[in-house]
Amino acid sequence: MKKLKGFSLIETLVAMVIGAISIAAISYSYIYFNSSYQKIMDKAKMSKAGRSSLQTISKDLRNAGYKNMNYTRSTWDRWIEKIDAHNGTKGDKLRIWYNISTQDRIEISYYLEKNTSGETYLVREVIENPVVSPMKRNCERFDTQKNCAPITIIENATDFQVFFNDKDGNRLNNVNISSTENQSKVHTAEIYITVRSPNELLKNPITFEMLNGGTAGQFTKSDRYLRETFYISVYLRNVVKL
Amino acid sequence: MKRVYEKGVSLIESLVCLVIIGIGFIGVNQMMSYATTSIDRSVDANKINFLSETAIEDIMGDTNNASNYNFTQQCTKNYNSSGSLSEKAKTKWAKHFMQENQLKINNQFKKLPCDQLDTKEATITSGSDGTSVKFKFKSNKGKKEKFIGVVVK
Repeated sequence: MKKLKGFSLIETLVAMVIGAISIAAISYSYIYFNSSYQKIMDKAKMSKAGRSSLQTISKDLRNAGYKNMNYTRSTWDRWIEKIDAHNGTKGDKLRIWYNISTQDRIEISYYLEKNTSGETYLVREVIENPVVSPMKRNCERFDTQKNCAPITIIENATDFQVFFNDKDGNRLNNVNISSTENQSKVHTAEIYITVRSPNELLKNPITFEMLNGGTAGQFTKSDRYLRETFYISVYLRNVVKL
Repeated sequence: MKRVYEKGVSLIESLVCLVIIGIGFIGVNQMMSYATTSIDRSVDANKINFLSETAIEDIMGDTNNASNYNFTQQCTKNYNSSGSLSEKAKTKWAKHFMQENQLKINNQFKKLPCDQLDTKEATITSGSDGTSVKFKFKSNKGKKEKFIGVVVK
């Protein structure tokens, strides 16, 4: 007679326990690595969004106030401006003007916009020939100015702050188009952008206070997102020559 | 009648097999954690590039006094914000290198991790061929060095 031998009960139980432990270890490490990967990737995304937009802003700031020597078309009274607490957001609005030819100039604005759920994002708006006959760029049809919308440069921007310093390094206030004198005093510009992570990465909510060069107690947010501030300071080489 | 012995895998053999798989798994985990830390490091390197560019931009705005911008900082700042533009600029750098006055998390300043060996240095050299700035940024406990050099005048 052929004797068939299987596993004993003890053997099966031991095998099950070992299997369960190894599956638990694998799933735990998968969850752990997945969350740390997500965290790192979100941080990298935040960094990329912050840095690349700062690069665009610094390029525009370096051009700010560039006046073509043959430009005679209209008055030349505006090149840089800052508006506080733009449109109900806590962020600033930065406006920059410069020549793009002997006849034309361009206006570039950076400001925060709110979406339907109240979250803010940073946009860049370009207007050609801003004083005589303004024409917005980034439209469905440029000639009829149909469906114009500024370009979003950071999806999740919590704060956007601009500061101007004079040639002695002191803060300048009231730099706007109503005062050409204050505009020509600007020597360096400082930009702070606080970027929020795309996903909720924290287990428990924490409170972020956005100081960004200003005073404390102005602007706080309490949630489970990560936040980081990106900063750049630019020497306005064209403005100081005006 | 001939007896048939059916031989399977013994408990010891299966345990050895499990240990070998476990070692392999640890190796994969190590690789993944190495990959994630290197992404983190590249983000930091990018940040350092920006900070040194920002500092050099300040020197470009004050080229006549470039020699006043020699700078060394470890973790704490030792400049006061009064006086000339160069002193103010250096105070500003010292703050920004430590991310001061930017974000407060749960009422505490968010600060960059810093070791005493992570020095930040700006060296200005003037000669007949112009004035140049060399910025040296050490990170990772002084193990990593990053340079940026620009002729400012």
